[in-house]
Amino acid sequence: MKRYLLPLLLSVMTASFLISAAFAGVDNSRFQEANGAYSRNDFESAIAIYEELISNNGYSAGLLYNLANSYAQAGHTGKAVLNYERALQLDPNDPDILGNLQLVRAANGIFNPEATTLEHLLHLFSMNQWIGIGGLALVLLTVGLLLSLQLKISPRAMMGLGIACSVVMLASTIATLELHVEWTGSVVVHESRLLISPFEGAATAGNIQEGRMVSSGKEHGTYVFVEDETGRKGWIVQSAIEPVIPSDPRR
Amino acid sequence: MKRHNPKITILGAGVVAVLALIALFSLPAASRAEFSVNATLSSTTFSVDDGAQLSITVNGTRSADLEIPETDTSSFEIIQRGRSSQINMINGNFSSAITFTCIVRGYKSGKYTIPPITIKSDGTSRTTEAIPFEITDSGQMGQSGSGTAVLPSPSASGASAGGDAAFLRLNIDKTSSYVGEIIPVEVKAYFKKGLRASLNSAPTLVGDGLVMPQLNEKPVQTEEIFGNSRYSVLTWQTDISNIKEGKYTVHLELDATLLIPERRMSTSIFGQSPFDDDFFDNVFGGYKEKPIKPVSEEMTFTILPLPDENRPAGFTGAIGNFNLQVAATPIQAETGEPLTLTMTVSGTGNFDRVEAPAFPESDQWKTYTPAATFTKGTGGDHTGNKVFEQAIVAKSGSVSEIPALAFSYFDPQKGKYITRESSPIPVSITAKTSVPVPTPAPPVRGNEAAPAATVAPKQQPESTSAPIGGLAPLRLESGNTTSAITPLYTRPPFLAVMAICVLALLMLTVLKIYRLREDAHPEDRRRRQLGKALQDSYQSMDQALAQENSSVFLAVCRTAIQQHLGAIWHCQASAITSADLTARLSSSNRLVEIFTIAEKAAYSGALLDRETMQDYARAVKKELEELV
Repeated sequence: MKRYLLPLLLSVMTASFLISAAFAGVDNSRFQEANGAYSRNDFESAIAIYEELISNNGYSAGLLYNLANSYAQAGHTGKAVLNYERALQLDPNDPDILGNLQLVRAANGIFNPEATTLEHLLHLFSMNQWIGIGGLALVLLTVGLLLSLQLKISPRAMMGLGIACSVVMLASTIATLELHVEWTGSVVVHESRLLISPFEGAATAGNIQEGRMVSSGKEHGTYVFVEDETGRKGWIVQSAIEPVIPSDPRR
Repeated sequence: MKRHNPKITILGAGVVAVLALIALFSLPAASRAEFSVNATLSSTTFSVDDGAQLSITVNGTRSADLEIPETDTSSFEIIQRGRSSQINMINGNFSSAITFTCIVRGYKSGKYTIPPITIKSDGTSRTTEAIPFEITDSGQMGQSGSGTAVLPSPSASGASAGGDAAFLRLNIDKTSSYVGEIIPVEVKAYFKKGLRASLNSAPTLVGDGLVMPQLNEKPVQTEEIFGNSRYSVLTWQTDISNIKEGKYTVHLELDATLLIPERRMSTSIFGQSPFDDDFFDNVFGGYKEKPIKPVSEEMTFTILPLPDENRPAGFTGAIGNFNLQVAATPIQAETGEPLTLTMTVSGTGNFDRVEAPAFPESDQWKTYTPAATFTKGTGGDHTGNKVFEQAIVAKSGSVSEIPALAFSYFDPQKGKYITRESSPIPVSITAKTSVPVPTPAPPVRGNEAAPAATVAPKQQPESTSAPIGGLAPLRLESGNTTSAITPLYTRPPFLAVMAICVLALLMLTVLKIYRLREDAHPEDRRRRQLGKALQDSYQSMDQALAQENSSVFLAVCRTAIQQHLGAIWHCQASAITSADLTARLSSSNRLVEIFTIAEKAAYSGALLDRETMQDYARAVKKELEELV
């Protein structure tokens, strides 16, 4: 027994180190300082401290949520929506994040087309949750089949397990593919004109609101071709949008 | 009556025919030194890019070669098109003539001379006389560097002599307009009927001050008679936009390639070939490509600035003739509920400069940025309607109407600004105390394209929104952080678990396939099992033999025999006795002997020497393997 003790201890320590490295905490005093600034309606200071904390420590749902609230109160709708969306990727079902995002969008007239039943079903879970559900189904199927080698399990039960897991995996795959478009989406952080051609002075196809989610396509110079949630398409300056999933890791 | 002998008649006809052929083929030799040449030009005066036919007749020979002299191809060109032969028999005398047909194509006006042309026949040569001719100026065809011919258009009045191979025309109603105005135009490309040409580009407008969009649409193809010639005409309908005030001269041009037929080279090794005729040139002959750049006449446009006088405050640069319609839905709502204001601007003009009518500043209304949709009319991009949908929210229950909206534009026909104003729309707004007061409109930032200098600046809302009430409170703890927001499928632990599951499923699948294959052939499986059991028995026998333990050895022998015979006979192994072996095996089978000894030894014991045990072991193995 003793000879297993040391490796076990080492494994636990390594795992603890990895977990603590992956999910590090935040300098609490600075965090509270930012919260204090927010309470004093000094939203710009709060934004600066939250951004600094993210830059130094990485992303957390709480940090992004507080930052989004600060942006919303400071009147930067686009940045507020962007950070709520980022927070939702880390904590998809948080009612505060969902509620505040909805409130900010509604207050700024960002109304989306009525979602279909399928879209409602898709948004029951986040993309990562759908992936997790699909993965869990795969694990269940594998374990069930392995157990059937040793245990006497009725063929009907095995058939039921197989069909159920396959359906869940299929639904998870479809949902992941659909939601991946949103995952790779961007948010308009500065209200801009949608242009018909990618150059300054080109005819406009109308304005695109700050806070709108867009999917971006081909690029030309400093312009990128986007399509918003309502299906409007056009060229927009790249600096006017920011991806929901930041490409650069922090820390 | 004397009857003709048919054989004599046929013979006579044959003799005549042979004599005629001899005379025919002996003709060139007889007339070798007697041939003469003559050249004629169908017209000694023709216009640029029109042509004249040069005929060179060679009499008194059946074969001749023509040598076309070098000419200055920038002025005119002689192109051989074909040859024809003729044989005449008059009063028993044969004569032959060859006619060479050439086209003289003119490229530059002036007086020229076709130099003497040498014709060779059987070692002797003759030359034609020089032919003076004139290429008139009316065609206006010139040569522009690297062999590209520029084909200007007909005269300003359009009264061309019809001598041009290709030209362009720009049909426009007016040559004086305002900055920003869109003028519908018709672009026509004329190609003389019968010419083979291909377009390398669509017509483009060359010059400053005006812009014509690229002509991507397929042109309408028609035929027109212009002057005295028939033309194939390609027509595009498009618009021209005026971008700068001033006086500008522009013209149209396009790149095309003329396909000029070429004389085929004779490939006959016998000199004269029956395929050296014009007909075969048309069928099999190739074409020489000649790049051309037809242009239109130059047109001068005067672009006027928009008048500063009486310019409305809300003018955004729209020029044309427009109408405004405004509707709202719903017209009954509570405070805080959005209403949709639909503003439709329809008519003709520069719709890219048409902006939504500005909603009057008011404390009673909260407004959002309107969204625009343009629907093109049948008359092109400059006609149609632009619909603006704007969300507006009443802040107060005292609101009774949506205020009148105004849209201003410049009418180029009347030369003055027009403002269309909608009527106020009565609405019924009831107060809702629980709704938070809506915030002002969202910002529009300064990265928008600057409007033209001649128009009023677009309304720029404030840079940020006001604070939003009702937000859920801040988090008091930040929670654990992660360096990057990544999808689950890129995280190593998830990937490891999935990989293990997939590998396990693959192994299970392989195992399942193996089992299914075994189930399909039960005999093979039983044989394999029996073989394995046999090997195990031999191992036990060999162990007992090595220990020289005869009791164990005989017991193992007995068990092995029982097991294997039981499997073969499909009966219970332990129930097999020596009587069964005696009954089912031949008496000479040593298994019967060994089994009987082993059976007895089980009760009475036995002592075998090593040699006997080795002999028994060999016998058991041999007999069982034969049975299996």
